[in-house]
Amino acid sequence: MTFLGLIFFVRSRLKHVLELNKLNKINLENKSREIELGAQKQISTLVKQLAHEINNPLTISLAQIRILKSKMNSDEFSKYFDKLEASQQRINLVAEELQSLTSKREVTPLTTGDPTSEILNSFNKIKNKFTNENININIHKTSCKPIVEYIPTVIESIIRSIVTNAIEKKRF
Amino acid sequence: MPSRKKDFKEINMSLYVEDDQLIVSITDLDAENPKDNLKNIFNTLYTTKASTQLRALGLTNDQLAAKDMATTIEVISNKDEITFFFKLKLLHTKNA
Repeated sequence: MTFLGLIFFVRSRLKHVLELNKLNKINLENKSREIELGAQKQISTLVKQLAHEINNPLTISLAQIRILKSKMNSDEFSKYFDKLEASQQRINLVAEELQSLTSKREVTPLTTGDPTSEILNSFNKIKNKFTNENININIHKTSCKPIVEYIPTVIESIIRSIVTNAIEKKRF
Repeated sequence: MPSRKKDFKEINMSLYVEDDQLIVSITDLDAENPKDNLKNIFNTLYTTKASTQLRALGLTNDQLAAKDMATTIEVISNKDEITFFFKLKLLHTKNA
């Protein structure tokens, strides 16, 4: 093999190795994305099962407590039953939220557009909802039309949750 | 300066554009011990409420929901105020 031939040979091998590297990188990225999606799916299934396993015995014990409460109609026991019931309702809420958490993870397509009207709508809904609570809500608008990627229902739920959290903390 | 102790709740909600971002901010102007609560606020099952019947995963859930929109909920506190922000990256703007 001539010296020139050797250079061409090395060059073509190098090109081949570089292409292989590129393909390997793409394959690795695809593989890791597949693994990540698989793991997310497994976690989602586990959380759903966990929520179901919490809910089942909880429903039974809640029903039994209500029966006991109706049979033992005395003020002495009443406060204990109320505490038990309240704790169980809280566990119930946790289970419900675990379920909603996994369902939200699955279907959340992004919308491209101007979310201003949806956000102001959420602000106003909250303002109207808490009119009788002596809660003062000030709204500052923006004058331009901002285009972003967002999920309308998620924006509304975040706003409602933050405000409700603050208000409930004060009330209880 | 008079004390801001009130028997009602005051909340400021704002929507504005700043630094290529659309910012939604919600300020609770009467937060109790905001700095003490700040570090735990997004922890699962953390609550400052006395009642056992209220939501337990509220802000954890919201933080995860915000991640679906490629953003996070940020929180800062100042004296007895606590402000929640979430910022959405601006693709472009149109004049109203």
